[in-house]
Amino acid sequence: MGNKILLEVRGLTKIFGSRTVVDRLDLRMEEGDIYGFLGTNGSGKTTTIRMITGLVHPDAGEVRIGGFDLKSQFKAAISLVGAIVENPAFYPYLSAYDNLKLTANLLPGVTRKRIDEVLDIAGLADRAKDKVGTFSLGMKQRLGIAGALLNRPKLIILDEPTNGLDPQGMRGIKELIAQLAAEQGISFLISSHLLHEVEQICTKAGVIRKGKLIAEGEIRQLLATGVETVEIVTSEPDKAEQLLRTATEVISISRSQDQLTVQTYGDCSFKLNQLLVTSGVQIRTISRRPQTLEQFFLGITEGDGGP
Amino acid sequence: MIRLIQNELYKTFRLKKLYIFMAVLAVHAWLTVHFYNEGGEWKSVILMPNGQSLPLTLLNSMAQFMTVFIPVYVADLITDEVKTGTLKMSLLRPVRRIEWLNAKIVSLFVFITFLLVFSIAAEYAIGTLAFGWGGQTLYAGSLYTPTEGVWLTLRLTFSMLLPYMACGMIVILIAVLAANISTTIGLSIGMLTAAQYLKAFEHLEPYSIVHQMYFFHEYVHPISGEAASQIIAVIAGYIVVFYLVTAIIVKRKDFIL
Repeated sequence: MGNKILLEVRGLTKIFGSRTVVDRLDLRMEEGDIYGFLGTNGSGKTTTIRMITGLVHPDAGEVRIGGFDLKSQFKAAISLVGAIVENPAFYPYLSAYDNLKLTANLLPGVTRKRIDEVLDIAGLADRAKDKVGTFSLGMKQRLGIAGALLNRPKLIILDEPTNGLDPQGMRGIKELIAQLAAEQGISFLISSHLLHEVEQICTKAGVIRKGKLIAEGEIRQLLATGVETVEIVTSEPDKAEQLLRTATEVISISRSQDQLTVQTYGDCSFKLNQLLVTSGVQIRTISRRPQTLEQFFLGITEGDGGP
Repeated sequence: MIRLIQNELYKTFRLKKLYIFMAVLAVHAWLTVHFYNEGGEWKSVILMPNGQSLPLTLLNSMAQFMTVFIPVYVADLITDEVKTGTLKMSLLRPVRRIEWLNAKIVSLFVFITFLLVFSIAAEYAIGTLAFGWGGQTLYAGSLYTPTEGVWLTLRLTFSMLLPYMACGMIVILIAVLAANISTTIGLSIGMLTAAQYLKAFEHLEPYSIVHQMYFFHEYVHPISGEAASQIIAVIAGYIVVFYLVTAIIVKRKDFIL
């Protein structure tokens, strides 16, 4: 994958009435990125996605897709995108194939063969002639992704793609995203409530809080910062706890028999180990439990409610 | 743009409502004929019972159906798309909003034209089956030869496209602004019904779009009438003004779908 910038959002702002829903938001995606866009309910995720896809007009800022300005070069910019915003919407009285045919009509160069191809990729080839009204939510999501693939986009934007799906449906969508990214080199911008899923699929993440992007970067870098958990098993838990409480990096300590679970700021398991060893505390095991995306997210959005 | 129009027409002709509207028009023609057979002129609007006069006889009464059909169709065409999110199927593609609006207007034009064509065909067929084709066409107290009658029927029926489209443009504006289908239909029918009371002001009545939906054919019957030109200009004004206002709103609107 190259480092070409695929999506660039600068100073994006949206005000509804007196409320600033998105506040000077900057966001950047490179080709090949799978970007998890995280935020609590009402944080401005969907409004941002609506602005990136042209459904909502920003009050300030700009969106460039593949170098094209969304406002002045709308057709060129949106031609690079496939998107499902909020829920996938289809005409329930038409078949899956007919719905895709209507979409394909609006895209130059999309053939009937391509419609069959995307139905096949989405695993819906055998339901192509069935009316969409009979589809489950998971099948509609798959059909939405099929529709988004029609024009061979460089970027697919998915707003809550696993919302309302059962575990099987979630796994199906997750696998489909991973497959498309790996086999076709498509970049994804995914807003999701499911932090575990994002952690598994995405290479980058951004966290939006009250309309502002408060953290952005590669997931492994984000997880290397912030709070870390260190588990220590020792034959002298009282002494160890006493010593650890003096360390400035330690946030909290919980104890279960001879095991101490220590929350710390940043990567400092080595320091804690050194402190205990030099003080003569016998350590049986010391292990670093990597921070999950959920812990990271909750750490920086504390008090905002669920994702 | 052409493909967008094709999509709209494809959806229109897949709508069950269209066929229900056609059935309503056919049943109305059949009932009119039936009541004439039961009780003559006293029970029916038919003055000359023959097939070639029936479409012109029923031209006024078509307006009462169009004041319902147009809001119901436009609500489906626009408000439902916005509400259910199917609008995104177009707007998330290389389609400008103004192209989307224009495709909807073309679709409405085809819808109205199709119903007009159907009504002429159905009324000719039902009238001829009931009374025979007849020797002359009666319209506004004058008699015409069959050829003149057919030409007059086509000319006057299709002239109704103008007031019906003006009505449609008003309803499209309401549909773009309304949050749900029932608001679009209720507000449109309510407004069109209320507009009928403009007849209380004689000098304003000719400028009421509802009045023109019923009686426009009478104004344009004499081709070179001065009143006709004035009325045509007024109705064209309705179309242009409502189109421009709707276009501005659609362009600026935030679609929270």
